[in-house]
Amino acid sequence: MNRRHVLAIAKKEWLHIIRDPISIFLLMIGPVLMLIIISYAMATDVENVPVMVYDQDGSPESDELVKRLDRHNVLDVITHVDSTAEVEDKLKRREARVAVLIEEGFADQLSSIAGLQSLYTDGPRVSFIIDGTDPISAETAMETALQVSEAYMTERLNVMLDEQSEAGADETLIEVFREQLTTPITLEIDNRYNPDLKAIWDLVPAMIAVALMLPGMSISTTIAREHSQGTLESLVATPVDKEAILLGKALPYVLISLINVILMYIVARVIFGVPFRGNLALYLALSALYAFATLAVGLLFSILIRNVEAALWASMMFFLFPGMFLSGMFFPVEIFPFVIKIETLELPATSGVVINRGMFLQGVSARVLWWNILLLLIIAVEGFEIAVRLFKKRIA
Amino acid sequence: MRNNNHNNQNVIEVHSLKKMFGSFTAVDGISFSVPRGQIFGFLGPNGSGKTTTIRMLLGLLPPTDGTAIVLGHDVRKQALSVRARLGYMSQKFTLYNDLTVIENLKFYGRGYGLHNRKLRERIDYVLEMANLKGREHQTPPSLSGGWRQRLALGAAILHEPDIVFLDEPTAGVDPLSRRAFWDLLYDISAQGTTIFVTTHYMDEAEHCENLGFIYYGRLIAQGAPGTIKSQHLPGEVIQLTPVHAAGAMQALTAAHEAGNLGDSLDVSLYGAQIHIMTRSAATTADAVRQMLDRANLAYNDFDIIPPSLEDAFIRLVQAQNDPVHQR
Amino acid sequence: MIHINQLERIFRSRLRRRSVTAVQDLTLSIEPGELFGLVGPDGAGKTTTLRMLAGILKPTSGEATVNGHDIVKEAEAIKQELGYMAQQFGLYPDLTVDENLNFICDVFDVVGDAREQRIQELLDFTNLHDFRQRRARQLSGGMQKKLALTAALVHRPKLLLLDEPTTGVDPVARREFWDILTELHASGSTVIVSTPYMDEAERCNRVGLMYNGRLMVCDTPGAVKRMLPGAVLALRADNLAAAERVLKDMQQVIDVQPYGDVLSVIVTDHGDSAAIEARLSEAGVQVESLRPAPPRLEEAFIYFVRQYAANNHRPIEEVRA
Repeated sequence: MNRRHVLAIAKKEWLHIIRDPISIFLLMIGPVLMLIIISYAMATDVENVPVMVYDQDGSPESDELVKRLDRHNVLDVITHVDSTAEVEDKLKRREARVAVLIEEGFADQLSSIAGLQSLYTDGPRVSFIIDGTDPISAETAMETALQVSEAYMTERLNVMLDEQSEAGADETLIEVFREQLTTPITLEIDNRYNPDLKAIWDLVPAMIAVALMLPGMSISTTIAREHSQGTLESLVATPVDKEAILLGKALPYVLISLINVILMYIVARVIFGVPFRGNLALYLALSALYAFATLAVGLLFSILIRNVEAALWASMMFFLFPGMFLSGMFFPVEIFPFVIKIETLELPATSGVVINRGMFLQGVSARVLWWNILLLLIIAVEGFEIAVRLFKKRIA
Repeated sequence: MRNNNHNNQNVIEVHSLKKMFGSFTAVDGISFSVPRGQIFGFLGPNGSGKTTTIRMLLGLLPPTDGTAIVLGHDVRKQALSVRARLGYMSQKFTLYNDLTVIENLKFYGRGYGLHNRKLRERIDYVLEMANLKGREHQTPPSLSGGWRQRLALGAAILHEPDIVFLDEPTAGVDPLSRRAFWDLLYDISAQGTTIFVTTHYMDEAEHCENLGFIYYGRLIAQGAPGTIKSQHLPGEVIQLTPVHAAGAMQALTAAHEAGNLGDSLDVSLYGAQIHIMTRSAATTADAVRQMLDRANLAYNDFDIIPPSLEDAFIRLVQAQNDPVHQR
Repeated sequence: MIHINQLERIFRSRLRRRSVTAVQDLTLSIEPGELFGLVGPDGAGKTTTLRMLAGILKPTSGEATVNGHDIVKEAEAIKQELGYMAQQFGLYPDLTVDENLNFICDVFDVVGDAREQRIQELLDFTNLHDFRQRRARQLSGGMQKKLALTAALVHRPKLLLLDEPTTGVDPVARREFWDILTELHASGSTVIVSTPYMDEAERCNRVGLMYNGRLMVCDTPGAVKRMLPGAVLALRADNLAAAERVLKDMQQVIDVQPYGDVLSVIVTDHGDSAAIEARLSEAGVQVESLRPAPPRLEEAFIYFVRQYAANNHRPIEEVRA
């Protein structure tokens, strides 16, 4: 393989890309746009999540709690129920997605020191059930419910302590309790249907991996485009060898992917406030590896499908969509049946998601990620090798 | 001259016709007329405005300036009734590849308003004329180029139009089929149909009765093939294949420049063949032969041929001093 | 230089279970320095043949060597020494002339000072100097063909395969193109040109007439024309239509072909012209002139095709290689 040939092909491919408006959109703007739009779409608009209340206490305090929950725009108390059976029923039917369970004695716990003590020993008399199938809104609803309830209870307890203090109770005891009340009260949440609630911080890094599949989709048309333009015939009549052609074509896309990674990194940090706890240099290196892997798969599509629209469509159906839904971005991989789970291992996107989450949120080292790195390496090298073998420098 | 019973009525009259696409001038003020029953050829390279002109004459594209009158009607206000008297066979003939021959003809026939007995009669006529009897149920892809062309022509004349417009009808087809095609055109013309054909094949243009040379939007010559040639190209061409081209060229060019080659006008080498343009072939031919024999330069195939339309065309273009081609 | 033996290429369409034999029974040798014309209409097999010789299409059977290299096993070696110009424009429309040429120079390892010099040479040769910064798609058809030819010449190959280089191009550009080919041939390159134009075929050292995938005849243009039996007369008269009708019936007349204001008459013998003039004046046709004319290659082609069809698709004896 002649280095000059590779660079010549790379330079030519680069010119094709920047002179084609569709390419520019798909490659330069697309990923970042996709990241922002989808993340925002999933994260905002959490309002009026339907709530039901099973109030066995029936006290002014429980009423007040419910009122406060309702007043918050995230939550919308739609009904009161009278039995656990009804709670379960309504949850199943998704008539309400949050259930507030107020047990008898709720008000008592907030009205005396003995009550406060029992709060800590027996636990609070209010708990929540959250339907987690829609993770973003579930998370927000949950946070809200907790926050509101916890604030209310703390407020009432502080008032109670004031009253007790005025009534002449033991000051040191009161001091101890006040001290304790500065840490939030832990309330119980029963999270149904989605044990691993995904927060936006989870979503954004995963989204980066998925958005980076767009260059992979774009490269899937490169051979088809030369075929339809009529330039493929002349190209294969030159002495440039197959490896040079394929590698040369891939290089500009790798560069573009890296540029996109940097842009998306900035978006993730600045707009979404996602923390980055890993090593930036390692992250870039792994991103390059990931890019090669997705591009190798894209090249395979490109070689097998000679029609531009068909190549785009196929790479969307068999590459982008599976990547989006099976990579673990929206749904945890664990919930998939075994067979599909094995399949997902092959997808570069799965490893990409793991790596991104790991580097942003956990700050893991390469050693922890060794399995995914190996997978991507295999996909990149094997994919490229197969592409070279399948690509014939011939017409028909 | 071919005797075709023309009356002097012009079926097409064009005055200073102009078409611009944005700032690009596709047709630059052309004027010509075509009498009834004539075979008129529009000759010029691709991109010269031939297709654009046809589209204007068919009323499919409004002119930017100038006038075009087809069958007595201004193309700008062309009634549908006039359209029904025109036939069109386009460059990439629009035959449906998954319909059979007869289905294609029925489709086009009905499109032109033919029904029942009339349709059947005309389809029969077309099948006969195009020599497609027995192939009614084949689809176009299974027919060779020549047959597809004749079928496309047939589809264009189903409704017995007054004028048939053919846009590059014989591109890529073998000489045998091309010949059969032109035989058909002569037949149709003999029956009074006017034929307007565009082509970039110079040798095909020789089949036409009247020609218009169009070059990048401008009409640079008009007239019968013979007239154009005699007007713009004097004399004849001596064509010979020397055994050693370089040596022969050198010798002949020297002799020509010294004025010793009869009344030669030009000496050029084309591939392995030398062309000598001359006013009177007889004297020049002798001079050439003597010269070559004396210099011991052998040659095969010594012929005297009339200059081609292409020679005339090139001469005209060069005379235009076109800035596109400066050599 | 090129040796072809029983080359065959069949295209099978899996979906429609139909197969097309694009080239069959092709046996041919081309000498170094030859200007060879592969002539025939669309579908005759010219493009398929050239593609096989260029190493970008595998034959179904048969073999061929180009410059000593086998077209199947050593295709890449052939590509090093070959200048190939495809029928469709093979350069990149969104790149400028300059960018395209630089790319080709990279591909053929033309570097350093030699590169700029070579590019200048070629731009002069093809007269494309003023268009260097133009995007290839904005060039006229003729200029695009010239650019494609330039690209094929960058590495000064000794062998050129040009697939219909002048189709669709205006006559002036065509003439310029042939000037270029003439110079290349004169400098010793071997040039194989495929063309549907008979007049271009006349200018080659040898022509191979292809039809329906077969090589019908292969010899110098003069020799091919001399294979036509009989002689050709050019008739100018006042009523050519009538003349044509009359002549077609005469037994001495093999074929009649109108060319606008001239009728080309192929007769069994020169001496028949007297009989013809007599017959025409009998029919009331006024003869302006009846002179012998050299046969056209087109007429030879038609004759051979008719022969071939008459021989039930078996190759004719005159086919020589």
